[in-house]
Formats: sequence, C-alpha cells, structure tokens
Amino acid sequence: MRIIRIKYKKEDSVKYVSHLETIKVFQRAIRRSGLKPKYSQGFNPQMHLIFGLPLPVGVTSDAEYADIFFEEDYSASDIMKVLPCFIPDGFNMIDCGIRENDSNIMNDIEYADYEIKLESEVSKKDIVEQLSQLEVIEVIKVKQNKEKKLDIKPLIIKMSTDHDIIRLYCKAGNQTNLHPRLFISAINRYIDQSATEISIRRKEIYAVRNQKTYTPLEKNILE
Amino acid sequence: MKIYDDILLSVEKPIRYTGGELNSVIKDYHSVKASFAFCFPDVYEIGMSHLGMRILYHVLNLRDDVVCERVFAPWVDFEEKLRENKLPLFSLETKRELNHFDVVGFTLQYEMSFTNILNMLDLGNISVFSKDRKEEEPLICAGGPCAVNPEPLFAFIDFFMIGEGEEVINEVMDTVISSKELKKSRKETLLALSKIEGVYVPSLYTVTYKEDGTVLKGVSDRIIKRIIRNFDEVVYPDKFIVPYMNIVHDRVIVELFRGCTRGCRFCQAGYIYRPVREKTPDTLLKQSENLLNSSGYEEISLSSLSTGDYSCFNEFSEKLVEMTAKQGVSLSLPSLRIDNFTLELMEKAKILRKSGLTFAPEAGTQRLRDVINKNITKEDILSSCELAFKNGWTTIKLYFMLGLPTENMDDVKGIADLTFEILKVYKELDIPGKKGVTVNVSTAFFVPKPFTPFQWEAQDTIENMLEKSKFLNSYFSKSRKVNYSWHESNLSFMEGVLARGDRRLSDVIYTAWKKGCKFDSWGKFFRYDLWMDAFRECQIDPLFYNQRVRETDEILPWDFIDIGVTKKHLQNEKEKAYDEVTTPNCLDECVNCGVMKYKEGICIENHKN
Repeated sequence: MRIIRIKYKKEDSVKYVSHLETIKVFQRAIRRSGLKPKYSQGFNPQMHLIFGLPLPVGVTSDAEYADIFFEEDYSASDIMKVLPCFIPDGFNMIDCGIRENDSNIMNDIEYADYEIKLESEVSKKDIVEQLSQLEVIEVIKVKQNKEKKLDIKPLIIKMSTDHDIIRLYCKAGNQTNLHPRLFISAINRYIDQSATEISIRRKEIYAVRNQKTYTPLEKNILE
Repeated sequence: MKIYDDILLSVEKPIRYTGGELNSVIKDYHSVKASFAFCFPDVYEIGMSHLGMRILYHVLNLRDDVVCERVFAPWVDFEEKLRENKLPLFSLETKRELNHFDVVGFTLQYEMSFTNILNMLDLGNISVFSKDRKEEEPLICAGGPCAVNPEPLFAFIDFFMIGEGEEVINEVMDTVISSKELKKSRKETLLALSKIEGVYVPSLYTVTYKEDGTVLKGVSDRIIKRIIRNFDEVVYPDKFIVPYMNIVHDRVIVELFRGCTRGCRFCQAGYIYRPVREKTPDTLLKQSENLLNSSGYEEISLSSLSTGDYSCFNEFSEKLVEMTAKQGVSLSLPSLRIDNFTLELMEKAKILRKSGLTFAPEAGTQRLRDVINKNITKEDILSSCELAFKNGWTTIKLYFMLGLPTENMDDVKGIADLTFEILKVYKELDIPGKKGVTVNVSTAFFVPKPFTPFQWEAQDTIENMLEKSKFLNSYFSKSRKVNYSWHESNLSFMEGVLARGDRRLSDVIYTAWKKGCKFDSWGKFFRYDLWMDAFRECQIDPLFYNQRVRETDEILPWDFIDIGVTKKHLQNEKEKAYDEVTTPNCLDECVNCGVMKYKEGICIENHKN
C-alpha cells in the first residue's frame, strides 16, 4: 500500500469544474491509467482519495494537492511516468511524492496565497494601503440563508501589489479560512464599490510544522 | 466567440456551457468540408445522457471531411444573459455560432421539447420558419422517435431523417458536401436530399384537409424508414465524452438490440424499431471494454427495450460481471425478471441492495393487461416479489397507466388491489431481521401514439384522468407503506395532442413559443394556459387531435411513412384488443406484422430453444 501526494494545476479551461466534480475527474483518470488504487470495502467500493483545500468555482490554481491511496508500492517516478498523461487537459499534474506519515492534506493546510485581478476605479496600491489602515474589516458572510458578520482583518496576514495585481496571503483551511471573494466584498464595502473580479488564482497553500510554513510536498510535511 | 467570465459566474452550473470534456472532438475547420451541429433540445445534463447523440457524434467525427459539435438548450438564466448581451447560441467544442454550421440537426425524443427547438433556432439567429430561410442559413434537420410523425414540425424543419441514423446521416453529409462544391442552391440541395431513402423534405409536398378536418390528400410519396442491417457490425463509439458535471445517465452504455418482440399495444418504440436485431456477446464485451478503458467510467449499463429478452443474456451478463468486477466498475442492471439466475447474477455483481425491484404491469387487472397485450400475470409478480423479499429486497416500484382503452373503474381499483396483495405477501413471510416494506406506485396517463394499434383511440379526458388518480390516492394515502405518485394530466393532454398532430399544429407551436412556452417537460415551466391561448388564437381545437376516435379508413397524417409494421397488422391488433385476445411474442410465433420483408434479425434467426 502506498500513499502518493500529487500536485496539479487548475487552468482557465477547467476553472468551472467544482471541487466534487474534480474528485471524479481524478478517479476516472486513475481508472484509465491502469494503476491500481485502493478501494474501500463493502457493497459500494470507493477509491480512496483525499483532496486538499477546496478551490472555489471560477478560481484557477498553480498548486492543488491530493492524496491517493494505491494498492501497489509505486514509486513517485512510477506515478509521474504514467498518471499525468491520463489527466484531462486543463488539469496539469506537475509533481508527486510519497506520504510516509499520517498527515492529512485536508486538516494540515493553514495558509493560502492568492493573486487577485480586479477592475477598479481606485488604484490597487491605494486599495491595499487603505485596507491595511483599517482596524476592523467587517464583511457579511451568508451561510444557509443566514447572514453573519465577520471581521476578516485577523485572517489577512499580508497584502501587496505587483503592478495591477493584488497578492493576498491569508489564513486558509478547515479551522479558519478567508474566501478570496469575501476579501473582494470587503474592498467593495470599504474602498471601492465598483471593484469587480477579473480573475483569481491561488498560487500556493501551506501547512505548518514547528511554527514554520511548508508546501505540502516538502519533506517536513510528508515524513 | 468568447463567453465572458462575468456571465458564467452569474449563472447556475456554468460548466454546462464550457465544453472541453475528455474525448470531445475538436477539428481544424479549414481541414473539413462540412460542419454539423447536433442539437439536443434540453439542458446539458439531459442531452448528454442521450445515447443516440453519442453514436451519431462518433459516426460523423470518424469522417475526415466533417466535424460534428454539440449544442444544448441554455438554461433560462443563461438564455437571459445571451439575449441581454446579444450573444448567439453556440456549440460547446469551439464556441462556434449556431448559424455558422452547414447543417443543424435536432433529435426529437419527446413532443414537449418542440418549443425548445424553436427557441434554440431563434437564439442561434436562424429563421424559425423554413420558408423564411435565406441561402446562407444552415439546413435544419431532425430525426429520432418523434420523427415518425414529423408533420407538426413541418414548417420549421427543412428535412427529416426517419429511422436509424448511422448510415443515412453519412449519405446526407455526402450530398451536402457535393452541393457545397457544386455551389447548388438551397432548393436544389433539398431536392437532392429528398432522393435519399428515409429522408423527408416537407416543403416538396402539400397536404389538404376535408371539411371535417381530417386529411384529404396527404404527403404523396412513401417515405421508407432506415434500418441498420447486420446490426452486430454497425459502427458504435469506442470513446464516450466524459462530462465534468453530473449528468442523468453518467455511465458507459452498450446497446444490446433494437426493437421488441412482445408487441405491447401501447408501445410505439416496440413497433417502430422492428425488426428485432441483436448484437453478439463478443461484440458487446469488446465495446464495453473499449468504452470503459477510454473513459475511466465507474459504471456501465445495458440499453434495449427489454433487456431480459436478449437471447444471450445469461452468457453475456456472466462475462460482463466478471469483467467489471476485475476493473472495480459497477454494473447497473435494468429491471429484470426475478428468478434464480438473476438473483445469482446480482449477488456476483454486488448490486443486491443497489436498485429497488421494478415491475411495469401497466394495468391493474388481467383483463386490461390482455387488452394491451402486456403479458405479465399477477402470479408472476407475486412469486417474483416473494423471491425478492426472501433475498433481502424491501422496496418495490410499480408502474401503471391510467386511461387505457376499455378501462373501467374495476381496472383502476385493480391497481390498488395488486399493490395490497404484494404488501400481504411480505407481511406473511417469515424473514429474519424483517424491516418494513415500501411499494412505490407511479401512474402515467396513457397517450395514444402513431404506429401503434391504439393510434385510432381517443385519449382519456383530463377530468377522467384526475378522477382516477384521486380515486387511487384515496386508497393509497391510508397506507404508510405505499408512496403513490402520478403524472401531470395537463402535460399528458398536450403530449397527446402533439403526438398525433398534423401540419396545422405548426402554427400553434409557434404561437405557444412566442408567448413564452419553453422547457415544457419541466413541471415548473409548463404553461398549459399559454398553450390553450395559442390554440384559441390559431382557431384550432386540441380535442380534434387527442380526444377524437379516428375512423379506420381515415388518412392519418403519418400514413405516408413506412415503418415496416403494416397498418393492417395494427388494425388487427386493435380488434384483438377489444376482444381481449392476446398476441404471442414473435419469438414464439411469427404474427406477420410486416417486418419480415427486411429479412433481418430474429425474423430469420430461429430462437426457439
């Protein structure tokens, strides 16, 4: 039995494929590849796949992760030789590693890095500057038809601009998570009502070990 | 053309419109000679489930000189955005505008999709009426089961393909390509197409009516439906497009055979797809393997009108279970008769608990079942249920129809009686770890269809339909073990009108669409009131089409089509129905329905064991 953690990109052509639909894409790719995944027991055997932090619909990504449980003891290079060419265009599998420990890709993630392109009247530099000066950044989060007020300032770790692009490094994961579109709604509320999303790209997600951050394929996380 | 993200982000399930699925075919337009837009007049998740589209998409794309792309009806929110932004309807593969295709083809699967066809033409900036189409507009065609009565759509469709499409569609494209090269006019092209067997060009004929509204002079040619000979060798996809979103039938499908030997008198499909032609188990296994390998699908299912009747069912299903078990693929078996073989099979396929058990007695009494020639007895059902209950099943589904010819209230009550007898069987069985049983009863309202022995019948009135379902509901609502559901009577009424309509209904369909009718088969969109307004405005009485008993010497609007089964046979069957006499399965005895003339399939093969 071997657990392989794969890293893949999600490009423009498939950004509307939802998280659950993405899981099926990989399950079917694995089936086509002839590799032997581990199935659960019982009347409805399922492939054992765990995906990292879900990506919102419409968002692209440079770094998505999933743990796949295989029956056979494949090496990382075995997988890289076979699996990538069975994955449909738009999902680009770029790397993988063997997960030796119990780390759970879903629970481990604590930070994410986003690249946000907006159309706005206020300049991106001014948006970031004005946001950083606020003591409280309150947004309205709608969950199951109930509106909830949330202060997202503590979730924002770092903001910067790169030409006309806003870079957002923020809290992410199961415990606390800043949805990039909530961030945009904060901009609408406090700085520029007219600002609209052009594109959002997740650049990376991070796990923490001994108070240091690492990407999910680094040794400190896998071993 | 590009569809902008801000539009896609503002609609439900944008993945319906983005394409790019595995195994979808993209070709260089400069390298092909003609393009075909295959349009399914409903949303993506419904249309992608249609096997016929998968087959014809594959057939056309096999050709180097043709490209076939898919188009589905946009959901109402996306349609609004398209119209708001003056964007045309486009194909999924290359986002090509609908009116840039040489041929635009619609599949006619159900009558209540007709308004969607007009809507898609309009959204594609194509003239809705054939007579208005300019030279440069695409040729509009249609095929599929409803095409056996093409007349209600005659004003919108340039040509119909009647029967099975795998070969005729290639002949059509050959003609289209040569017309393009010779720079023939639209009229000349349609004339050339009309020479192909199975192709019906409505504009070449006029139909006149008598004072009483029936046909005086119908279409003056005989259009002979196409069938595939050597069915075992017919082209079949080795790849299925694998959609990203969940579609209704999200699995590999292999087609076992076409047609049906049972001769149930209400069933149009059983007649129009005769003669019965089967594929061999070897062919089916190979096709299953190819499709599973190229798709990675987790489930496979079998398609036919009566899978349990496939002559090599035992051999084939055992081998298929073996293959799927090895690949971790699950087998979805349709409703089969419950006997020891099928029980063992389901055990092997590990689907014992997956599906409930389904029966379609269609009528509640043996008398009425004999009238409709549905050869299933109460004893069959009860003994099957008993065997199933003993083996762990706790859910049964029963399908019936209300409004069948000669039906009386005893027959309707028979539905309740049968249901309660099944419950009694369960109650009296001594099963260890016994849980509760559930019977789900569903009644549809009978719609008489062309090319069946009941094509002369009057459909039951809405009043009667409602009374009967209410009557049943009063019985079933007393039991917690029975869930009863029934179809919408207004919708069944409309289906009844369109199914046996003539050319004059084109105006009604147009008017209804103009008033806003679309997605008629979706309960929440169906506007019976607008349809009735449309009939009034066009001064047409819908009851003339569905609630009138037709004389046997009347010229029916679809008489000009030869589907193999003779009108004489249908008349004989109608008389036998009224005499409550059954007709045997053609495997047991040839009943001379007329399709022997093809000398194909089981008509010439001997299956008696």
